[in-house]
Amino acid sequence: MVGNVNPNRMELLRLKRRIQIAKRGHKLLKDKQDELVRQLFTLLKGIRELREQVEKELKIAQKKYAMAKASCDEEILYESFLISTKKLHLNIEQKKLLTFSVPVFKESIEGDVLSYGFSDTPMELDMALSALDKALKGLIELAEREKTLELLAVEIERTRRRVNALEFRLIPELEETVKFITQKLAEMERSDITRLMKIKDIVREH
Amino acid sequence: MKEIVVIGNPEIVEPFRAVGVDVEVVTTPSASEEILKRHIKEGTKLIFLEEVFFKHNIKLIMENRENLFPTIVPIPGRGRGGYAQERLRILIRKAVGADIF
Repeated sequence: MVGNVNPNRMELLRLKRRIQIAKRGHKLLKDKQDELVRQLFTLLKGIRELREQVEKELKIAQKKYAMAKASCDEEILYESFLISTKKLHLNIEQKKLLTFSVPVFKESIEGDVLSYGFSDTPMELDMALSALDKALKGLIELAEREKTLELLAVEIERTRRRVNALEFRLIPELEETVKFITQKLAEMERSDITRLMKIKDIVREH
Repeated sequence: MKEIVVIGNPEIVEPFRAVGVDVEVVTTPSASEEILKRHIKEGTKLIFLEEVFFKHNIKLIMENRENLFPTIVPIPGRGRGGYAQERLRILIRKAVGADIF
């Protein structure tokens, strides 16, 4: 930047104003980054445990379903799925988190998962569906929290890059240019004074 | 437009039918890619994707990660598992600069 700049007072004033704005922006972005990290820490609490719990419940459901499938006719299983009166409705909203939106999932569940006849179906199927039913609420909560976490992480990364660009590139470059212009102007002033003194000497000699 | 869908191998996703969730049965990674692309295009809000297919479609998922919808979440299936937690760990390490997960 130093190379292609006009060393005059207008440019100097302009650059000084830019430095001021850059420094204010840097402070604001740094504050935003701190707040985002604080939000991330709050969100992190319990997310790992929730993931582990949901995965455990899903694994149980999968295991029991595999056993049910092995001990029963597939058609009977599919029929029992069709009979199920369970209905899941997802109410999707958005929530503002600092400068970006995050999803909010509110589930409304109605009906019963075990609404088929128990005489033809194996016990493992009941256990599988109960486990899955139990996991479903946690799974939706997990989806909401993981997405929020992902969006937060992306935003933190982006903000950090901006903060670093201002702190280590733009502000030092501008300060360097201001220094260059100040030196150049001082040099021009000194050169003017010298020239004037020289002219005065020449005039005096004649 | 569907609100919620589960994509994966039959033995993983079939029980979801009983709890009132739409299901897409896939058996190959390429089929999962097709179906995932279709759901992204159709504007499905929440997609649960079996881990093995999540890994295969990671490029597509990363392209859409800054969008609010669809929210794509890995669920355990065949294989060792643990990919979802590892993914979160990497994400946080990249954002914060330390392994705090």
